[in-house]
Amino acid sequence: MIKKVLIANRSEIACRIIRACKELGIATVAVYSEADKTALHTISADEAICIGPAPATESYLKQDAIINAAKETGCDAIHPGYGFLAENPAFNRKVREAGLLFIGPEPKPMELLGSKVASRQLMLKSGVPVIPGMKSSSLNIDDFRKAAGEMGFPVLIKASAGGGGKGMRVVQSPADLEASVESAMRESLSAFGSDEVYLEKYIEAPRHVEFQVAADRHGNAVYLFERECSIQRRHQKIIEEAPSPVMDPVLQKKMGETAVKAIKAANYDNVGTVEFLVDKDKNFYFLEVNTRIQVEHPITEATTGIDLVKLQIAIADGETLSFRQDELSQKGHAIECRIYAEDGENNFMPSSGTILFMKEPLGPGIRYDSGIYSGSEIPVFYDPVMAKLIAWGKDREEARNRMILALKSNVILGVKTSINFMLSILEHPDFISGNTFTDFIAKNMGGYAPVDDDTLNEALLAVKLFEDEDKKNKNGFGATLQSNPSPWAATGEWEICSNK
Amino acid sequence: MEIKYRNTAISFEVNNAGEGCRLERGGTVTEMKALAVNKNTFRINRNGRWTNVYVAADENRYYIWVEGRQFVLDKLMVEEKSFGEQDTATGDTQKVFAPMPGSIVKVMVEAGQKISEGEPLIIVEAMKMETTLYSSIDGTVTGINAVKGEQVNTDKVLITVEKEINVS
Repeated sequence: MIKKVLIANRSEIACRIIRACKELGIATVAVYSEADKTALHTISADEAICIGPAPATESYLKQDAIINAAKETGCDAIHPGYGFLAENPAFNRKVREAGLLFIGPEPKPMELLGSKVASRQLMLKSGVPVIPGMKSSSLNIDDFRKAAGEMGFPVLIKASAGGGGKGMRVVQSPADLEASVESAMRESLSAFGSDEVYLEKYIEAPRHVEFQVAADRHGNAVYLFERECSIQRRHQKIIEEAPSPVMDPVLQKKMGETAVKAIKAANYDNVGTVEFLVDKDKNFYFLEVNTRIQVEHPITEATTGIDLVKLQIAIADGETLSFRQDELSQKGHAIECRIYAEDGENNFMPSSGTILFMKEPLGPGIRYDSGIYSGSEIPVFYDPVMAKLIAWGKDREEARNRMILALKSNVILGVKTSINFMLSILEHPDFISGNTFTDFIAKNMGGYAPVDDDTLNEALLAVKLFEDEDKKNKNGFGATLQSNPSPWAATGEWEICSNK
Repeated sequence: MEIKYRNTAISFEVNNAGEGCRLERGGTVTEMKALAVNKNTFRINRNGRWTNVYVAADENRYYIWVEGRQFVLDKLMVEEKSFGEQDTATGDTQKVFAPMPGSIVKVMVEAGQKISEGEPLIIVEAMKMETTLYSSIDGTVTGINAVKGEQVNTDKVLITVEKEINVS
């Protein structure tokens, strides 16, 4: 029985895992960097241990520091969350060698599926459809030229160890190939510690559809249906939904069974995600398996009623899946928006700073998985996801309308956010009709203008009102108090004279 | 009042702040109604519909929220009025700033190098994302003030490019 878990992550996912543990009566230990001393995850766990300076390479990626923290606090398991060390087989092994449970798959399937090249070869062998591409990564630009020449442009460069769009480049013409390969290698090296990149045929205007899977350590495996994550910018998902607007029962069964086949081929255990591209003729191609909890897992939880983090813990603890495939179904529709700290007026550059004021969205069918609060800092060192907003409805339209309302009421002041951009996506006719492809943003959002003149006038008026209120408060209390030490002044001159 | 929005100074006047007020900006008057709910929350009515507008401020900026639309307005500092926008006005000098706080991945030009519009100058990385900054003019690199690996803020001029001045 797992009694105490160290969460080797930060921000919203660390908070999410802490919540699941608390529900199960499991004690929690957070780890934090010097930049995260007062971060939400740090102040949410039963205990918190500082593991190093702000840069992730000196804290959240420090394997020994994390394992030592777990041993010192008497934990029996480590949950890695997503990102950082979540898909690092060496860390996975070290955790186990230290006598701790790793809440995730065994190191071997993780290693196999974590390498995009090795997993591709395994899928080819197992009869899972894959996209044409290079058989392995290379450091020689000529290999890339040759492969690209054979399959024709556009091509896609991907990091072997990658995920989340890091180290990924679409190349439209031979002239851009070399620079793109170099840049992808650098980005991959800094994000994942590996400069292995490879190249594949770029399928234009596909949908990104992924299947949630779960396998226990007793040979049982199921799929928990799909999530569509086609709305991406710079290959980073920003809006996800379940079910996919393109899904039909026949395709769903076929893809789900293929996903289960894929993880069985790798001897996979625990919760995972099999990603596919679906082309306009509903052909699907295997992309990769994510051997961890996924950012967008809440929309599967909302539509299946299964808590995936608690399921991860149960499987790691050796339990058998408590449900069969034929007992699972999708109910209603769920949408997730990732609230990024980024600047829509400045080409979506990451934005950092202090949250001066915020309001968490509430309402029927609304869930908010957050790593922020009023007064918290958004450091520059980490991924810019601050929170995730999930809206569930009986159908897609209800979920969409609930999402729009919730986004508008999710006030965040002090850092810029992607909220307004997501609102304009959700209100776009192509989104409303389910025409969601991975080029949605490039195709539809080119004319995106964050604000209009009338709204600017409202903002200007609000600034004036804010200043007036501020002055009023200062005259009543602060200013008088400082300039005159008499206790009578503290009540405020004008207050006494007024009839209120 | 005067503020700066997207590097442009805006001056505006509000008369009768409180319910029923007129905002005058650039010769145009907009009639609105307004109520203060608390120090951060204001009810504003334009065209017959009330909406909640939220405001917070730090030393340098106002942050405003209008139903998901965000504004960051710079407070106008006294010293800013004397200089600032000459470069964009003349177009002869391009000063390249980091678009966000981050680290320098690669400096792609050398001092004295002639470059043309659209050529890459420098790569900056923040939050694990690389951004390449390009030249917006034809000219000569006259200053490089950044080295690989350096942590930079948004207020530092990284590279200066000057237009060729033809002396006949």
